Amino acid sequence: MPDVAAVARVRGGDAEAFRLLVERHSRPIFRLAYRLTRNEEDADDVVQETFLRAFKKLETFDSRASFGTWIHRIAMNYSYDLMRKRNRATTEELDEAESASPTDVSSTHGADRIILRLGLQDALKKGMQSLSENERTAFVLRHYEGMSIDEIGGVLGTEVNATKNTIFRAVKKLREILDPLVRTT
Amino acid sequence: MRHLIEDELILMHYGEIHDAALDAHLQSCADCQSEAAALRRVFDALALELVPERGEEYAAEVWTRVRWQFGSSAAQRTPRRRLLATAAALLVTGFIGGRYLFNARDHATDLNGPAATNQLASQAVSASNLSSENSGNAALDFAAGEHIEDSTRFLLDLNNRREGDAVASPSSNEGARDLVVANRLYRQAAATAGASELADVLEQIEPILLELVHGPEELSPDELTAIQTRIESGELLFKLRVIASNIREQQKVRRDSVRIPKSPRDL
Repeated sequence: MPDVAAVARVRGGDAEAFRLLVERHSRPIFRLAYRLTRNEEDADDVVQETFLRAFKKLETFDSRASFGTWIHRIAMNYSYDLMRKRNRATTEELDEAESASPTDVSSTHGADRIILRLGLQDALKKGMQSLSENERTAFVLRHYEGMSIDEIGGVLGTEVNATKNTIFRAVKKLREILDPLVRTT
Repeated sequence: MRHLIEDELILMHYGEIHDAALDAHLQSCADCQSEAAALRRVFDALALELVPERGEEYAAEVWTRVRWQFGSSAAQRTPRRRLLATAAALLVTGFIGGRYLFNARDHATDLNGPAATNQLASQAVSASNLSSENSGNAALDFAAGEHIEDSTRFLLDLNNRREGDAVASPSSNEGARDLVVANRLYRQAAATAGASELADVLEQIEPILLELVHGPEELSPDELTAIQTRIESGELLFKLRVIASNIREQQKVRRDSVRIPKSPRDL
């Protein structure tokens, strides 16, 4: 049964039809949420909350659009809501730690040296963290999930050219972080 | 022809543009090939970033977690209504009095003790003549087991919420209201049957459920923390899991005892 038919059945009062949508989209949503939050527990939370929100807001869904795109957008928004809350706490912790630190690493070492010390996994993490919310989402959906530029535009709510430029910026930032490291391996 | 720019190489990598002239240039230009190779090395490195696996069963787990929170429209179509009806019917007929196999090994004495001799238990013994012992216990275990699991999920979800998360109170949630009603019925039934541990745990849960159902539309961080403290200090999740485990064990024992041989050789 296509997504659009399942949505119609749910709207008609058959809540069990929503199970099909959960079955079809829960794993892709988990992957997106994990890549955005970088935390397994948070990703599970995002999946659950995404489907709850989707169910509650189903009347606002435009059946001419793609349900997959729509629910990815909900997941993206909730992921960033969650991260913003986490980041506030984390930033405060980091500020405290940095103020207590006797040395400032960033001012005494070049970016390349830091990257080499961090190793590839840390560099990947740093690279993804260097992206803005839209850049990270666009890149994850294009690179890992194989979504088209059009579909990504649907998730972000941006036009084709703006979506492309978002992806270009993401790749440039990632290259800045990763290029020195992959050249040495 | 000019060299390819990075944006074009990115789009070509993702198959977003198909341009014969660009392809031809890339085939013949060492500089552009070198640039494309550098880009590919970065993409290869990005492929090393792994995501934890979620198996085929993941969707079913998600569905189980979310379905009862969908509210009245969903609740009317979930088995909860049937379970609630079962709980009510079992209690009203006294069918389970003195017969609840919460833990047959540890509570065999209780089941034959004073609690089982009260009025309702007497009615239950009479009522039980309407059906076999196995079918009665099986029906109860099925219904109570589902209720215990739903309650566990409900409390687990609350316990996992963090300060700042949106915590909608289930005050407008028909599924949660059903949970309260079912809890009351099972608590009374368990007390009547002398299943004191089950009754005690359900008694501890009930005020929390009632508070949530009758509480404000959204929990404040302080209210959430207070409820989480009560869940943890009472070790409610642990107790519920032990009970669920005991019920599953009883169901397994019952299944094994009534297994039908598939062929004469199995006899």
